[in-house]
Amino acid sequence: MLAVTGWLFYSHLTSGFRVETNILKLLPKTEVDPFAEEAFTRFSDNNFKQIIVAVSADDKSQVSGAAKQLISQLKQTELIASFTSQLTQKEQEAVGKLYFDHRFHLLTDRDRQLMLEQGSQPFLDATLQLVYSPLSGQLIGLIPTDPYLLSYRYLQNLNAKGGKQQQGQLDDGFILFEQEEQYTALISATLQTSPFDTHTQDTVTTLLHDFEQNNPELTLLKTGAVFYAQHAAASAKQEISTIGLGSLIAVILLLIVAFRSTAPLLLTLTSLASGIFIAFTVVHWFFGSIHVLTLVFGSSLVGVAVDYAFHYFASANKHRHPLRHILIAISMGLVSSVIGYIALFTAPFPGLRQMALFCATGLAGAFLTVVLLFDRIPYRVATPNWLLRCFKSHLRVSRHASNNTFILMLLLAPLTAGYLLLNTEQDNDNIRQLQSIPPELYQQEQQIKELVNAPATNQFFVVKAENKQLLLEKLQQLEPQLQQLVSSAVIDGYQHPAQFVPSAQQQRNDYQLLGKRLLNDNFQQLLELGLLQPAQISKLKQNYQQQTPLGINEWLNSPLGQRFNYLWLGQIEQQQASIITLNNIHDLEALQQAAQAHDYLYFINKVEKISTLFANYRELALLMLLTALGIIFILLTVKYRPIIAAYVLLGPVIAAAFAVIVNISINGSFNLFSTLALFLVFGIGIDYGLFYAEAKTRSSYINLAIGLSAITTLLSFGLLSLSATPAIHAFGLTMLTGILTVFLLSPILGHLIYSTKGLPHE
Amino acid sequence: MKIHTFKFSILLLLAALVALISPQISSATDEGCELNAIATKLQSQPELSRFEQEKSIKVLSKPLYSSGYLLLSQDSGLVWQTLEPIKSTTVITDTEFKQYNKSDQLISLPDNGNQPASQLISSTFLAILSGSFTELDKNFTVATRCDDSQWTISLTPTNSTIDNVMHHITVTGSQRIQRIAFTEANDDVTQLSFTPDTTEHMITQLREYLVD
Repeated sequence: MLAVTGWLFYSHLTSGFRVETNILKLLPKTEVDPFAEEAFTRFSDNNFKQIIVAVSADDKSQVSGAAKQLISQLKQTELIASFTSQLTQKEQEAVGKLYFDHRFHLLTDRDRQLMLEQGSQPFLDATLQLVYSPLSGQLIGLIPTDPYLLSYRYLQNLNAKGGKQQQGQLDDGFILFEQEEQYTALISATLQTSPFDTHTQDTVTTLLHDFEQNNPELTLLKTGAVFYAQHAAASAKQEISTIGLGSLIAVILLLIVAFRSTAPLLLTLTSLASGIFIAFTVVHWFFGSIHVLTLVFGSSLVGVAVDYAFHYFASANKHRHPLRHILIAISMGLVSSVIGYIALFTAPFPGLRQMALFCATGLAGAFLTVVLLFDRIPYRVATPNWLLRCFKSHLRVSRHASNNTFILMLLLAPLTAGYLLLNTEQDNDNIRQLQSIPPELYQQEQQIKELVNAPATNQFFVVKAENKQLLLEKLQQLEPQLQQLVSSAVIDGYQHPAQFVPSAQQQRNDYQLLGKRLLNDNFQQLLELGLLQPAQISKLKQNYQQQTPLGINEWLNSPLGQRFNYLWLGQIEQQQASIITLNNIHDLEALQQAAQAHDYLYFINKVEKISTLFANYRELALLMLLTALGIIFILLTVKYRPIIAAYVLLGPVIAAAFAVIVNISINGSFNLFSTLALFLVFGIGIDYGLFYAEAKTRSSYINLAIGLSAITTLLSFGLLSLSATPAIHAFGLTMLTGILTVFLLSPILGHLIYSTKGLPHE
Repeated sequence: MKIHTFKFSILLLLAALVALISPQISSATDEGCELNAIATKLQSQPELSRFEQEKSIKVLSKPLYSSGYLLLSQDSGLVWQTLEPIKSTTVITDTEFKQYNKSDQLISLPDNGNQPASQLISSTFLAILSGSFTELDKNFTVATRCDDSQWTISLTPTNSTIDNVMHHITVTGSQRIQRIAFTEANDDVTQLSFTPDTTEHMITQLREYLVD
């Protein structure tokens, strides 16, 4: 089996390990409709690749010099697909030409209304006003080809729809603007690779860090998924090493102190190593990659997997080949833990499944090492007497508590926990739980948001239709409703492709409406002023006849379309789809309702969806835990008397209750991740109970084993509770309180088990 | 008309929309003829002036003439009303830029009242017409010339973006501003001359634009 694992490991090694840091990869699909799910994926893939860096100082040339330098450094990494900025002059020209070439098909809503009600006169008046206004001489050249200034009016309207415009000065790849004597260069770029790619994360972060170090006079702000991902990955890695190393050192010290021999130390480390090795390999093989959070959770496996070895060596104080004396106890322990993990594994939640598989295989690996290897190696253990005395006195003290009154009092804990669970606001099942968000990064994001008007990335509408033209028509139909949402302050603004490209039908109508006026207009006033020549009029009418409508593909290929290509999702499952982005959402409920009115309109709210999902899984996990508890009880009664089985399970139940109480009083909530920790509390707690239940005589070596195991577990999970990631912190805290309770209760319950079995006192 | 003329126009238009005037101070002046000194000579601008505008446009054989009234309000801005050949009214205040058509309806063309860039251009306009010259040297290279009765200020934009719209501005006056001329980027020249006026009903009428 080791050979198989080794081969698997090797084959993964040669093809390269994939350590995943994308949090979304841990989550199940949240949308019932695969269409909406796919739409979200495409939109978020694009969003994730964006980075924005703002460089500020009070000296203008310094800022623009720094921006240029930074851009060239970023270019050299070859990780940047493109620098996005406002349109350059060349691009503005191209966009101007695009709309000019289709001007007879394009009317703004307001102009259409004006044309219908008052004909072309208001347009000609406006043209004249512009001609005579002191500052607008530049448009005069446009009059012969566009006397109604249609292209100008349409572009003006697009500009206004663009929302808050930066009054920035355009430079090569960045925008420079001034605010209260402070100059800021804004660089926005799209990454070539995934922001969850470790190489990309490290390169970009290091580059910016060095740049900041070398230019202390500049203020640097940055935002983008890549920075959050980098931080999450770095803190996860650090936590893995702290927790893993911390518990490892604890294990080593304990083994040396407790058994005063190198063999147990080496054997235990072998058992741990093979457990983790097998777990890593199996998970990587099964899922194709391993998530960094799985590794964090997994690193705490050390504390659990070491139980078998400790029990073995504690028993070795008394027996030459202790395996047969403890085999049943540790087998039952493994089975009960694995039952818990199997329950977890059945959840359609990739993250949970990975963690369950990791823990189950890791435990099995450690168990198999103990069973197959330990008895074959010759060694001697001698636990020092002072240590044994410590545990003996603990045992003695515990005996005083092992009476029915105390047990009945303990039962208050589950009642309290149950009451608290039912009466606590469950608002902590949030995706942010999975990521430690450094405040300075969050603050920088907020500051940048004040400079650029970015649409919400986790909440938006998706519209679908059978083909491109129908899609544009549907977007147009939604226009009144969207305007209503803006005027009732549900959102501040929105963007969709039909604002840039009206549907073919709309363009046809506008073309005809315009034609009626344009073909019959004699442009008397303009002719008299010499702004227009008779020959130009016939040329104009000829131009009109030859003109074609603006197509969506033509627009998508234009510089403007390239800027906004994320709005157009293209084909998904035989349907065409598009996004309506929303700026500054004030009322989520209203958006939800708006979407319900149309079957082709979806409101995507990822944060909310995930929170609901986490809450559902928390309930599901608790339910599975209770089910597992029932199954384990039944299994135990096959071998033990029901009262002993009950004592075995009582420890973890009380421990879980205390964990719930402590979590709610410290964090104000009991979330999904604390629930997951309960699975481990149960696994370990049942192990402890079983060690007593399996004992043939009252032995302080059992207490030794449990004590050592509890100390390592407490150490490793105590460290987990220090994690900056809220989810891991909750997990650690639950483990800490749960295991501490189980440890303190186990000798008390042990006495009760002994008395039930009729074992005499030592 | 060839397409490149259009491109040029739209280009300048968009450039105007993103124009940002940068602070650069430099001035070349005679003794006693600094901006501050001129501002002192310019005791006060009349509340109402009649203006004549002559626009010389390169593509047209004859210039375009228009005329109307300018109302200056010390605290709330200016009203620029062209009456001939077509009525149109522009209201510029520190915070607003509004245009009304010949039927006094608010129009959206050019719809850039909330665009900070065009706001900057109109505030420059406001600064010149109301004689607040001290603010000008932030945005332009200033040269002045004075003789016994008259002074002239020459303004050249220091910022390339505003230079895309306008190459040069000349302001001439004595105790009040008499003439303003500016050359646009395409070499079209606009000349404005002002005569003080006291027509009571015009004042009342124009003031109303500032109220709403």
